Amino acid sequence: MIRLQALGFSYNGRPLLRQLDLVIPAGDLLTVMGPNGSGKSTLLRLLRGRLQPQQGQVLWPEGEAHRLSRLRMAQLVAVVPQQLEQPFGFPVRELVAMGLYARRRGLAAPGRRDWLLVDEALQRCDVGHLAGRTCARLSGGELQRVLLARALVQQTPVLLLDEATSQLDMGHRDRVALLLQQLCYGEGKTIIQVSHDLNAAAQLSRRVLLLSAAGQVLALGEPRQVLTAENIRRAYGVEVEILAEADSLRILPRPLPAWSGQSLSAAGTQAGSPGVGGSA
Amino acid sequence: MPCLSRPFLIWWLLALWWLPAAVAATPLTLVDDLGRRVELAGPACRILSLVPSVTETLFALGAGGKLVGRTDFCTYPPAALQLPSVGAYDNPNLEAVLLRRPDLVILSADMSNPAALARFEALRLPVYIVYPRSLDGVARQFEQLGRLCGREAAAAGLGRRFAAVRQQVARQAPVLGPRVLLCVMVEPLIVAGDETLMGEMLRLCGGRNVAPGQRFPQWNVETLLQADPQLILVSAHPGQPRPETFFERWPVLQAVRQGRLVQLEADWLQRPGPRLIEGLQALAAVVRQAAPVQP
Amino acid sequence: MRRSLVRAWLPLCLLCLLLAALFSLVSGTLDLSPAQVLRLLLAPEGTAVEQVVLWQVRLPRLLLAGLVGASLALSGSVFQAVLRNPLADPYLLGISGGAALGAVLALVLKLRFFAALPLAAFVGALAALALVYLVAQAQQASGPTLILAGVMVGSLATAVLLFLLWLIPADPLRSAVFWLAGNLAHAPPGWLSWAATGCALCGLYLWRQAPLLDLFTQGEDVAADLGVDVGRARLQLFCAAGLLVATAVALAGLVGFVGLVVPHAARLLWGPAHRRLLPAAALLGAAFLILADAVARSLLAPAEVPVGVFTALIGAPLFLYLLRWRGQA
Repeated sequence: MIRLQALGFSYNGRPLLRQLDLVIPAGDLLTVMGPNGSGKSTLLRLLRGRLQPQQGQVLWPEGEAHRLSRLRMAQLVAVVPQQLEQPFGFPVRELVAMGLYARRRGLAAPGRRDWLLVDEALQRCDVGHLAGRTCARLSGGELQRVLLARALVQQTPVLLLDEATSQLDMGHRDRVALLLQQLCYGEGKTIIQVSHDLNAAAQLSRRVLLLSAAGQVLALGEPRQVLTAENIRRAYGVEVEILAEADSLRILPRPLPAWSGQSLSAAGTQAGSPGVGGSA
Repeated sequence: MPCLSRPFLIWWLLALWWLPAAVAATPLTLVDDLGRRVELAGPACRILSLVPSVTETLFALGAGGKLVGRTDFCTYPPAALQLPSVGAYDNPNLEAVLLRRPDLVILSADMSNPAALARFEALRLPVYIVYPRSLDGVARQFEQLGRLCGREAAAAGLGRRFAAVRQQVARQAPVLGPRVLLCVMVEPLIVAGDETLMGEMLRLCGGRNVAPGQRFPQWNVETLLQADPQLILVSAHPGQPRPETFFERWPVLQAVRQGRLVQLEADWLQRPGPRLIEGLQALAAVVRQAAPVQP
Repeated sequence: MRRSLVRAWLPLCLLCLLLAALFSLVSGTLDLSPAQVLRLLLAPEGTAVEQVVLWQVRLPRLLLAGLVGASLALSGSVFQAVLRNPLADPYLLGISGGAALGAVLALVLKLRFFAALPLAAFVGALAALALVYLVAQAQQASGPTLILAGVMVGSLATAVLLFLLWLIPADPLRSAVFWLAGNLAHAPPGWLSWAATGCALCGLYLWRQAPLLDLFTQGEDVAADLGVDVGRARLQLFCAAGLLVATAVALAGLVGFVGLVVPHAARLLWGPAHRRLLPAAALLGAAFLILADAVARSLLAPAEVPVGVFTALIGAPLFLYLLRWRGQA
């Protein structure tokens, strides 16, 4: 269980988070949402002790987050970053094996059991067929799944994902969502993710934390309660339509107003719209 | 007396008065070591020497009073240090040169900067270039310098002494001289070949140079070991490591085993000036001592 | 085919080293055929000069070249990993400037005690590295900051160095320039065993840290998230690699290109995992410098060309070839 008490943080004089109180129980699947610059990534950094809060504390069972050693923290939480440059061409299998460092103190060579773990993680993230490929030859989406596999290999009770599905196509996004479901609800991991995907958050999370542009908490609670049209308007400034049913919650963005002449059948014959509007 | 009439006397007095001035004002034309014609109104009175060996020679000729400047490297004789310096020989400070108002500048063909020559000529300063490549060349240099500063008699004396030492050394040279290595620098190892002034001096003294041909080749250790000279002569400038530390690492060399490692003052052997006399004598003594015993 | 090439890295590297060593023993002013060399090695025959040349001139030189080459390649690999730049050079962090300045200062101050020049170079190299680290520490010493600080310290050292070179008279100047250009002829003979022990210890330590180096290539943020105490680890790695470079510079002057090209080539051939890369780079670096030194010694005999010239002349085309071939595979 992670507890955030009266957390406050400023970045370059601009206050990002103020008086944040939050308790994350074990086995929670929390999605942190909000517009750009609202402090979502900063919150993840504070959670894992990479940043020291200016007010308040981040309390893990072992102690304050920023006081724990890097090694101890790596045994507790695994991070899936958004994207990662790879100037060195590691093969995928070895890249994923780097996750074993915290468990083994890293200095011994991986044994058979370790490699089995790695292969299993690769399979679960649907990148088993890429095991021998150099990571420089992967697409953005493939690389993200590889990084997810590395986080799995760490075998931590907590997973942090920072917009880890942004580059995935719809099919893979679904598969990763299923995987996260399995990890959280099936294996009891605690997952905290930052995402812009409203629908995935709605379907997947136990709770959603919605931040405003100024870093204030707009709402916290179950997806149904947080993801209302009103809240989304206040957070993102867009109009949406909520389709709430018994076992699902879908969010439809309102369509954009069409530009005059946007429809192909009228292209070139409408006056007042030369070269404007382009493709539909 | 009829010949001592007044107009005649006046004419004679005037002639006597003009005569020394006429003699003094005899224009001087010389050909320097590069074949350039140098013309002076008379023997120079304000000489700027940018060559250390020339500074030494001029002092030896008693013309030290005519020098108005030197380079940083003109350190002999001690009296030369009283002269103001105009910088290094390859990059003299032009303003300092002009301040000295020389009527003759002496440069060296292999040490001075050709750009400096162009500058001096543009300023219409007479420039004399020395380039003594042999002992005969050095002898000629003494004579020419004597004419330049008006001390021909002293120059002739120096030339005679020089020739006498040369003949004496040649007479006393052993028939079979030792094989000698002339070392001018220890790190890196640079040796003097036959075609240098030092090489010629060694030949005169009866030594056999183990470094044939070229001027100043750089040697590695294997070549040194292969050559295995009987005598190692080091004439390095200060600032070099001690030769003993280098050569004593190789006791397989016969010169090291027999203790024939000699250091001679670098300026005695490398400066084409009056101290070559001491250099020749010292060199000859060392070579004679190291000569292999005649069977 | 490439898989077996990768697995056979150790025998291949050892073979390269052996061939280079043999070539080195055979090259030089004195003519020694391979058969003669083998006979001299196995039994003490041959003339006194041949014996001395082989045992006291060529063999120590071979060992020295191997040691310096391996040290430079190892430290190059480490700096490339920590700075996350496959083209980082051990001299990038001002180390070469510091070493050169130290050596020339020793000449200017006329320090004549035994091995003054190598010691001064050693101290200068470490001082420059320490300065760079201290300066970059204020900005959390990230890769780009370190490189920038290193280039600045190097430039400063070079400026002071040029000024000093202008001040000192001609003959010490020539000595200094000769040393600076990289030369394996002048290491104090008794130092080889000490240097070898020190470098071996540093090398073993770095090899043990190989997985850590792998993590550093992912960036310091990610490495920290994976459990690395980045600040402490970076300092330790820098110290070990810095000691290796400082020793190499003290022994041989500035020999460029080895620390840049050899790790990169090894990476192209055998992959970036440091458990394999570090020993492969060390062996290849040793072979490379032994070869370059043998050529530098013999090409224009009896003169000695600075070995740094040949490391560049051999290294650059080789590297380009590797890049092209590997790019196709």
